Amino acid sequence: MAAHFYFTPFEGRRPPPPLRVSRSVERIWHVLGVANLLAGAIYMWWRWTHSLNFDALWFAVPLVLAETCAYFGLILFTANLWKTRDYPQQAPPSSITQCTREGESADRPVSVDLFITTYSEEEELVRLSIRDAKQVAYPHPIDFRIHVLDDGRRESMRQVCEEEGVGYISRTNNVGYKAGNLRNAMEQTSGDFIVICDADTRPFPTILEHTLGYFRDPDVAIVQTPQWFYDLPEGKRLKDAWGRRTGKPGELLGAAIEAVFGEIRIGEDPFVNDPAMFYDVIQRRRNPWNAAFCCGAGSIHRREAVMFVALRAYADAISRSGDEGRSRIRKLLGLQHKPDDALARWQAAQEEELTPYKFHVSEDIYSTIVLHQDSERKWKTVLHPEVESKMLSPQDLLSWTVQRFKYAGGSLDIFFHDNPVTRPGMTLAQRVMYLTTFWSYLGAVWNLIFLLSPIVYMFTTIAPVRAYTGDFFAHALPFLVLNELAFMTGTWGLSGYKGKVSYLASFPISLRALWAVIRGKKISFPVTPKQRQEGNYLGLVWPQIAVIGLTVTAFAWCAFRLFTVGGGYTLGGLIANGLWGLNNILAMSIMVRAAFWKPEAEASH
Amino acid sequence: MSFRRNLRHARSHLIIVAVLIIAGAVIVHIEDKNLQQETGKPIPEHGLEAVRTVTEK
Repeated sequence: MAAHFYFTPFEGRRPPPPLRVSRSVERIWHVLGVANLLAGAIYMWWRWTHSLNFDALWFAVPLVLAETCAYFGLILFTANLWKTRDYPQQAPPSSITQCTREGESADRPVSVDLFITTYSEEEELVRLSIRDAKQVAYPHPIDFRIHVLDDGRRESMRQVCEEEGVGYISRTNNVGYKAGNLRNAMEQTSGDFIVICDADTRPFPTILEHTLGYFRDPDVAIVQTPQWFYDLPEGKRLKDAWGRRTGKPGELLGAAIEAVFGEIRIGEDPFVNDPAMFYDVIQRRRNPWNAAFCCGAGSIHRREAVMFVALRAYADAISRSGDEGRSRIRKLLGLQHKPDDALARWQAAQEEELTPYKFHVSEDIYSTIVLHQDSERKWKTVLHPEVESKMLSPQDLLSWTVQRFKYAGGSLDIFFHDNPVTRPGMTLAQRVMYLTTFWSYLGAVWNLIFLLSPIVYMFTTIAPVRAYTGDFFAHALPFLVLNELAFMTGTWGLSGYKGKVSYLASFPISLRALWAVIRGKKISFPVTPKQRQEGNYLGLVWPQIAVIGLTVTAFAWCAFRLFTVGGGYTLGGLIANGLWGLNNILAMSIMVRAAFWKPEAEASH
Repeated sequence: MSFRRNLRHARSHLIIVAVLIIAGAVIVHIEDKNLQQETGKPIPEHGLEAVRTVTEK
């Protein structure tokens, strides 16, 4: 009998189709996007030249700097979202010769290795992934092999692999974690293409049929498919949730609100995990610029390209190590023909490890960067828009935080230590796309200023602008309104609100990651837990609670002073900062609610 | 995907736009009225310039 998991009831769920591309919506987005940037430029000019409160420059300057940084991020994000142009999907190849340059390979069926990496995940969970992988179909003869890469060295896992008739690969240590695990497996396999799956990645039968066609272009190195979490809680309709709490009046009120605003769900996707915005919008729209990057699970790699990355990194490492290293390269390239060459090459290789995937917390993006930097070979990466596998989302705030910290820390580490934006090799468009990613993580710095600004005003009467008059709104309102309308059309078909507030609310994670990178602390990469972790998560959200508490207190203080002694406050200032504070509170409350969230089954006990 | 469904996804943007416009209009009205009371004369049509900082008592 099959094991029962919390996600078993969701097995029948199917992923949503990719967003439909509408040229007319895209044209509206272009008009609004440009108008938004122009309005933003006018606003920023006015902020710097006419609005600064010179009585409080210590406050006014940091805020206007924060706004400028955010505006720069807006330009980058607009460029990222500019257009959708998918790579043309081609028929699956019947022979490897269709995927390589002429004369590079013999005529034979394509060979594919599917790797399922695991460390401590439950064996029965991995078995589900194995069974789904066994269902993968292909319209031509193919050499398809499944391997479980077990860094936990578990006899029970080996047993499962034997029962399922798939390969089992383990090693004696855990050097390099996932990247090291993959390297070990690559040394023991030889498929032309590699499908990367995490322990919980359940590939669909169509994954190869739909993606191998891209590799008919011999320059395509990696195809990333969207990650889809099929276990996201659907939540309850507002009318049902309120009806259960307060009876008929609540139900009627909920129904009335839904009649005006459309369906509202409470408890839906509590950790804002839905990756549709990232894959279907952000990554997909990097296709026109050959700038989509690999995200690990659900990606298909050309082995030759992966080895290219390894050799490039290897050669770089050796060339950096000076004369001795150059001598090693000569040996490795076989330029000296001495009897002990084999031994010398072997020794050099031992000292400078050949690592197909860099031992880094963000090995996926790192590998893509190396591919994109090669201006001679001009490797391509593709974001395939259709979901081709399903996987599990983090089920608690700790797992979510670990995952986000890894993303932020890894990206910032690359930004500060191996920045592709300034290094040679990439096109301008690729640099802009990578900068967009890095800039978004730096955004925590200015987001913190945006969170504190209304609090400062409401406690002190010190405003960052000279006054909340028509002049201020005449410059700010067109920009703010156009910004909303532009991104409404730019992300038409998806709700941008949750992503936006999650970005604002996750500021402590990005700040922590930034601090760790600046101090030169290594970002460790523990496995993101696949099962719900027990515990109290209030400790993880204290900064968000502090922002909520301070904002509420500041608002109460401001209102009290305004309506009693005046105290230098203005009603306009109170309303403007109160609404700003309310926006911040709503954003923070998503994370605080997530700390208390429990699956329905647990909550009902 | 239907227009109606897409519009539902877009509602947060539209709500924010409505709040911004209403709040902006209310705040400008209040602040202009305050200025009018303080200066003792009506605000001219083009009177968008700030005449005092909010820190001034």
